[in-house]
Amino acid sequence: MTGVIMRKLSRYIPFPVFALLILWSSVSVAQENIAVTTKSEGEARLKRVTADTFGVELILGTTIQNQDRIRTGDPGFGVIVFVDDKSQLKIRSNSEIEILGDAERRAALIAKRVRMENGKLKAEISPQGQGGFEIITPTSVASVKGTTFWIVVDVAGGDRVFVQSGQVLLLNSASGDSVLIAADETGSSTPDGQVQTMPTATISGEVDSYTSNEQVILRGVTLISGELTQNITGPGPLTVLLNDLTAFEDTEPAPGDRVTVNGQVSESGDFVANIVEVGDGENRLEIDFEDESGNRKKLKINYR
Amino acid sequence: MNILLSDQDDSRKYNYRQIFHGILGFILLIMAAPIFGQGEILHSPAQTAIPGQDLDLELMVTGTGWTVDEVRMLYNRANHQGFVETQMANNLGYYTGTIPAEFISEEGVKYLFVAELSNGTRLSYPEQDAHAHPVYVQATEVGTDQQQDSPGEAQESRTRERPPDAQLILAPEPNVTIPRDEALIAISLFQVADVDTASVVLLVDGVNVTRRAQVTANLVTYRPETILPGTHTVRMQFNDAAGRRYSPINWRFQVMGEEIAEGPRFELNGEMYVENAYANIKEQVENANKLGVALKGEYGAYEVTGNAYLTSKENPNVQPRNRYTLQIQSPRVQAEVGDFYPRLTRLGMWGKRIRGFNTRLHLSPFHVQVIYGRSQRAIPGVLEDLTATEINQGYTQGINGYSFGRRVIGVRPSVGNGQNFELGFSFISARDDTTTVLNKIADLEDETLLWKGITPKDNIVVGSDLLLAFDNRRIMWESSAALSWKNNNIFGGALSEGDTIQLGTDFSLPVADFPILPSAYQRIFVINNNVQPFLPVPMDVTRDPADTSKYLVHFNPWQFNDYSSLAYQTDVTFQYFSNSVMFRYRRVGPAYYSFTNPYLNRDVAGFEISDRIRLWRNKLYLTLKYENYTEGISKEEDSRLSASNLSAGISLYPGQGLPTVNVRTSGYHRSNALDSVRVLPGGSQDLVVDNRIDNRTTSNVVTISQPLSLFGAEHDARIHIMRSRKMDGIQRPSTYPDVGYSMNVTSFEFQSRFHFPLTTRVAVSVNRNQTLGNDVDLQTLSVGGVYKLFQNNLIVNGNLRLARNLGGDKFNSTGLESSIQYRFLTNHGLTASFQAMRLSEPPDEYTNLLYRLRYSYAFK
Repeated sequence: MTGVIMRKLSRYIPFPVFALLILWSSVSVAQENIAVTTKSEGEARLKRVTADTFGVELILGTTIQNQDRIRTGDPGFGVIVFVDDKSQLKIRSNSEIEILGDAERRAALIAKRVRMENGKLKAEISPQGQGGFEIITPTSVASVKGTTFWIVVDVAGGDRVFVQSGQVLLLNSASGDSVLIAADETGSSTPDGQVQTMPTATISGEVDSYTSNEQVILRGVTLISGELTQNITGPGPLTVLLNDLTAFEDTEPAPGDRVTVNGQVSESGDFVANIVEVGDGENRLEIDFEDESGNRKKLKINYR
Repeated sequence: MNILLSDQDDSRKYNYRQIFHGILGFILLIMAAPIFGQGEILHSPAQTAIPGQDLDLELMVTGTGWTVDEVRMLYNRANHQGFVETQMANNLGYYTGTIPAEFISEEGVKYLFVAELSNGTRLSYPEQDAHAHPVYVQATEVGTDQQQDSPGEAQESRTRERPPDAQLILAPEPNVTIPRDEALIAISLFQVADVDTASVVLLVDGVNVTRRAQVTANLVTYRPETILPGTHTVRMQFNDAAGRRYSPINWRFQVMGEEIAEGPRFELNGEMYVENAYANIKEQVENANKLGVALKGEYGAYEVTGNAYLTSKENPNVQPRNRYTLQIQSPRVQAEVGDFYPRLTRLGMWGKRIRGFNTRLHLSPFHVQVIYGRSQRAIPGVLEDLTATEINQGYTQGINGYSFGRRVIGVRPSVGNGQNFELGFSFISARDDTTTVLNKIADLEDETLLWKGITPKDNIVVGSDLLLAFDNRRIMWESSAALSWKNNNIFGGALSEGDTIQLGTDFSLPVADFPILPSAYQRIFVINNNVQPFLPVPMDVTRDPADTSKYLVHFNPWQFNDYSSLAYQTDVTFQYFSNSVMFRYRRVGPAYYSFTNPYLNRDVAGFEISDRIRLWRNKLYLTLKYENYTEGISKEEDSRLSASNLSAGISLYPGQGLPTVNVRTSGYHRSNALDSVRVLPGGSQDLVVDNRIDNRTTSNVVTISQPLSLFGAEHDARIHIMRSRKMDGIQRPSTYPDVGYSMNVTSFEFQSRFHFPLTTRVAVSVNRNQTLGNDVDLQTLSVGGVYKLFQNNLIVNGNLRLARNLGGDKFNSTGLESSIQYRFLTNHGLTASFQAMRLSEPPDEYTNLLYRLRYSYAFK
């Protein structure tokens, strides 16, 4: 149908004018890159605003434009960086987000908003100017000016926001109530209009054992930040409970890893994890070889 | 009736009308060049150059109506005489070239372009008198920190500000260690205003990967297919739309794993293209095919570069148009084979093309450069046809229109590092090989020919040069001197034992009495009676009072100004207190010739002094220059020409968003001491010879460029006004041709860059000239635009050009040109361009057509 219209138009409009019209129509849909993918693993796909399906694989270097949607499977992971201020979104498995970014070249900023249906992501947001940064979920709107935080979105259960630095304003869309979540605090917003905060703490320890989706047993636990209502530090062991809201910063832990865990002590006395971050544990081995002739070769090995 | 003559040489008198018509025809031809659809060179002059860094330049030739055979770039340091010449590369319709960093110094750089068209004509940029008025580019940074008013001021003033690197580098972060499979290089240009994406050059570990990178208006990404463990460096260079270079972004990162220790790898990349061009100009059809190949291979510190350019326009009856070059570089040896433009010494060999080899060996602190090749090739010319009768009568067959192959040898050993001290000695030889023409003529029965054209020549130049620099190169002294011998005719070879040396008309000397036997040295230089000068050392020859049949010769070796074939130049520069003062004295004797530096004016002596002052934190530059030369130093006092030029320039770079202003004014005065005409009695009429010269030329040029931000787009408005006038200061009879002229050029250009990838350009110019009674009133309007799609992989270019001359030879033309460049499958490029022009030269009308198809392939 479109082709027929174009042919008829071209019959009545001189070719140069027609070509210009085509040119200008393509101009009007020209899209600007607002972010780029700097890491991806597993199932991670992209849907352009002009496409009907998630037909683009999200790979290293994939550019993100306004209104693009990203969906991750299980396992699936992607990191995107905004081109204006290097703000990052780390999108965890089973998540789906829509990136809304109005690029204001003259002001050199992108007004960033993320519409998130479900899933988990970590946002490392550089200090924002006029535009700010918002995550819009079915339950809430989280607004920040510059901070690092996790958000876990669940349509049925509501949203949880774990703030590592800075502050996040969490507004419940149903009730209009809001709370300001500071560092080492967790905010929650539920479909029934409730919004509240609770303190969290960050501890560190060595993994003794790990059971997927259930628990991590730590030894040699120390308190990194925040306050605990009871003493859980010491040689251990300490059982850290995991649940659907727990997010892993990068990889899942293995025995011997050193981890930091953000969470809070439950009423039963267990430590419930919000975020589990496995330390890099990277070591570098350097070996110098020298043969009889004096030829030297340096071998460097990085291992985790 | 009196007839006026110009008699620079009394032995050759020309009819005034012939001279007048010749000059008139020549000037008309020059003036008509831009008129008759010869087109123009589109180029945005570089606003700044950074000392010690290459300056990349780009241009497009448009509206020519003829195919472009080649485009050459001529450049040099702003205060230096002459130019170095190099050929520009054709890159998808744009011609690109780089002025090497060694020519970008504190004093700035000057350059011009010359495009050779297939119809034998040329275009130049700047359009008017480009050699005398090239593009001058100010340097943006001073050479040393101490010279800056405060650190970073120079950069602030004329390079574009840019945000800190950390804001630009998206990945990997500087100095981080990343897994191999996460190697993505991403640089944001979002916060950088006005980037010319075409100028982006991305280097990873020193290798140019731009072609494989994704470059958009706000983002540059590159994902290496493979990357080895270890440390890697990234460098990105880019300019703004006005050509001003941003400071490059440099950083390094590490990739996890075993670091490369097994040694360097061989890397090869390159590009090739084929092109077909068709032109139908004034019903003359021309077709040309071209093939170009450029290869670059690297192995550690070793680098190999190869270039070849082949054209169907290659013709053995003219100098070569094909070009081949192979360069090999290593830390100690650099070698070039093929066509190259060597720079051995400023006075001796400087930028003239040679086909052969050029090697430089560095054994610090000693260096040696050796050049061998041909600066021109043999052209067979045309043999006269003799009738049978003429043959029977013993006539010798004549030949004309030939050119001898010219063999060139250059050697320069030197000592020093080139920074604070360097002393070099040079020997240059250029000799015509008489056998080369004969070898080119097939089926030549009798090698005894009557050579009716040019005679074979021989030339040697010996010289030395010295560089001394003090106080961190704030004080520099560069001097060079060279002595030449030229033999105007080496037919017959060198003098041998029984010959006589003829020195002047009444002084001869048997070879046997000469200290050396010329024939013993003819491998170096052919010494016969055509050598000029025979003895370069100044001498007095007098008759011996005791025996008047003998002569006494007294040599005066210390009278340097009497050496007729000596050239020397000394430059002293001081860079203190924001001033850059340069003093130069140059003297080139009347008999000084170097076939490998034909651009040097001879028979001239004089000095120049200039100062370049930086003010207001390098936002304002003042340039003052005075030069005074005497031309014709070998002539009688009355015939010597005094030429002085006083020029001043102001360049204002107030900062981003503000207008840049360049104003240049100059006054040029040429005069001799003659105050009367000579009357030569003739047969039926007397001849009046008027050699009086006293003329002044004033030139004023104003260029203002203003960046604007309107209607959501960035614009550059540029107005250029040039007024030049030459006036004869002598009251002459009305029959004498007026040597004066006036030239008035006003142009306005408006470039727009939209936030989508469209760039448009509207230009209007009015050119009113008056020379020898011929009026030109040329008006042109040019409207065009470039649209880039699919991340610059598809570039559409369109331009409409209207021109009319309301002056003497009226005409009008309407030209439409368009091109599409498409880059596909990463490495392939396709360009199609089309030009059509309707030219009306009453009563004639023409439709000129030209198309060009080009396919290119880049690989690594």
